[in-house]
Amino acid sequence: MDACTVTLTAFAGEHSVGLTRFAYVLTGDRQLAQDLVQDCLLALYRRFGESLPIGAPLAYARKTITNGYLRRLRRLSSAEVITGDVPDRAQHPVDSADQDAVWRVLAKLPHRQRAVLVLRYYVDLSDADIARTIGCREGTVRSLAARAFAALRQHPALANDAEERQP
Amino acid sequence: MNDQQLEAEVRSALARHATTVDAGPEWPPDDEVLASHRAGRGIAWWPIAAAVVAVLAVIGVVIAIRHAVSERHRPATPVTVTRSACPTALPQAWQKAIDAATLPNQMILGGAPDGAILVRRGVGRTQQTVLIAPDGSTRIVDERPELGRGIVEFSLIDRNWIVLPISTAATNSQTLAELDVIDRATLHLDERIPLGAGNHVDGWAMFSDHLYWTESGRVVDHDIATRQTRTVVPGGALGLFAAPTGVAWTDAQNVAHPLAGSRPDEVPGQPGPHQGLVSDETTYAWLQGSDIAWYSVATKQTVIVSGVAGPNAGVTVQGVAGPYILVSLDTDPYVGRIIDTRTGAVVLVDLVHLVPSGDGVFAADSLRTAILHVDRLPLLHC
Repeated sequence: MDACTVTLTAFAGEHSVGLTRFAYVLTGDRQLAQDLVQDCLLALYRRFGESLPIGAPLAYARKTITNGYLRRLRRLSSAEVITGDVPDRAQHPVDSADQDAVWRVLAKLPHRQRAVLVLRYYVDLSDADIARTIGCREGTVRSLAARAFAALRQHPALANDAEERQP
Repeated sequence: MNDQQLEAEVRSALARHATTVDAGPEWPPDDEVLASHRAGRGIAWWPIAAAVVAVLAVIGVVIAIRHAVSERHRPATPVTVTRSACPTALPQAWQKAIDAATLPNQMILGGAPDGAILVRRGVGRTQQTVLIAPDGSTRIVDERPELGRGIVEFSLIDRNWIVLPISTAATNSQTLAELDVIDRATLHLDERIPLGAGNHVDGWAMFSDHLYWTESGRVVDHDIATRQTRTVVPGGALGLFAAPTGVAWTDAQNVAHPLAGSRPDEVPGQPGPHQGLVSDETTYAWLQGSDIAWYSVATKQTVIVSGVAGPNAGVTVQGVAGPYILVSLDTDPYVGRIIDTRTGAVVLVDLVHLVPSGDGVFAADSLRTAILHVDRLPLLHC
């Protein structure tokens, strides 16, 4: 591991938006994404102070955000009752579920399956790196991805999509 | 819609929605927020623990000495000891050992109960699977082109056999091509078990000369000695759960159903499932509420270490090697904590994501790949 030191302020300045984008596609919730990134930066500050003497702070941050997301949902599932979906699409027409079947299906996937798809197809991590990020085996990553794809394929919106594409 | 089209749709959807975010949280935040976190820099509970370190040190040493003395003079009877975690600096001898244990450009594939470790390394355009014995000697188990048909996945190894799961493609494979069973003594290929096209093998485990894997919800049992394969669970299996004492499959409710041996979440002589149980065959460690518990088969002693993490912290018990336990906290994913159960001392190490290993060995594969022989290192004092 090549140790290099960057300041947390410089790191946040460079990656804050990128990490929030990552957190948003991971969670589908803008406020939660902001909170997770803020929590991540505070965790880095608490752990290292203003200097980050670690070789891969971006990977570290992504892992912290992913674990924070999965852990927060575990707490939610046991402590809170979610009464309904609250679409946050007023400012962004692209969020309209009707216009984006994949995004709508992603929102309904189990959280680890969604995390695997985001890490694989948004961050472009290898399965080995995804396994390290979410703390499981490579085989489990493949299994989660396969199940996510099966769910995507079975969804009526995507089925219609597929039929429309056929000649 | 084939796989490639669906992948392209997913990529496109994720990228499109990501670009709708044009701002992140402000950094640095208010001084007040920073100040509250500055107080807990390093480890959140460190300042509190530091205040009582002196007291704990005395108590810990006294308890350790009492038990060392008592264990010499009485037969092994069940006893439970509770210790408070005491954070301490990593001793120089440990730091040197960790630095020396690092294996650059290698990936750990699996570990055996006797401390042997299997690693993958690239040599030119070839990937080699190498067996590292406890004494450090190495033997090449498998060699294949780096960009060829298959890549060796996380492997299984015990005292008799090595099982290499081979993927159908170099990266991001959805399926396994085969399971190669290798005689550990001779390193000769004993059997090549082909897997059906389009399979979804989720997990694999080995116990008592049997190889188990889950495939599209089924559990398959392969007797390595007779080379007979049979389906033992027709459907509903989501994964396999293996331990030195047994193997089980898990269903959608994460309930473990034993396949062979004892329940893999059981500690000898202690009923009930144990959360996050790990074992090196002679010692066990698990989560007990927010505490970490440890049990020795030889001494029948149970040690409860409290205060390693806060009550709401996500803790994972990564592994146990003799008297040492390695745990990680969700909030510090790339930092491990090694606990010496004899004293309660806790040190921070940049080793996490342990591969099952044994006989005094921690094999870690995270930002740093390392094989650390903790049994050769001095006791951690408070």
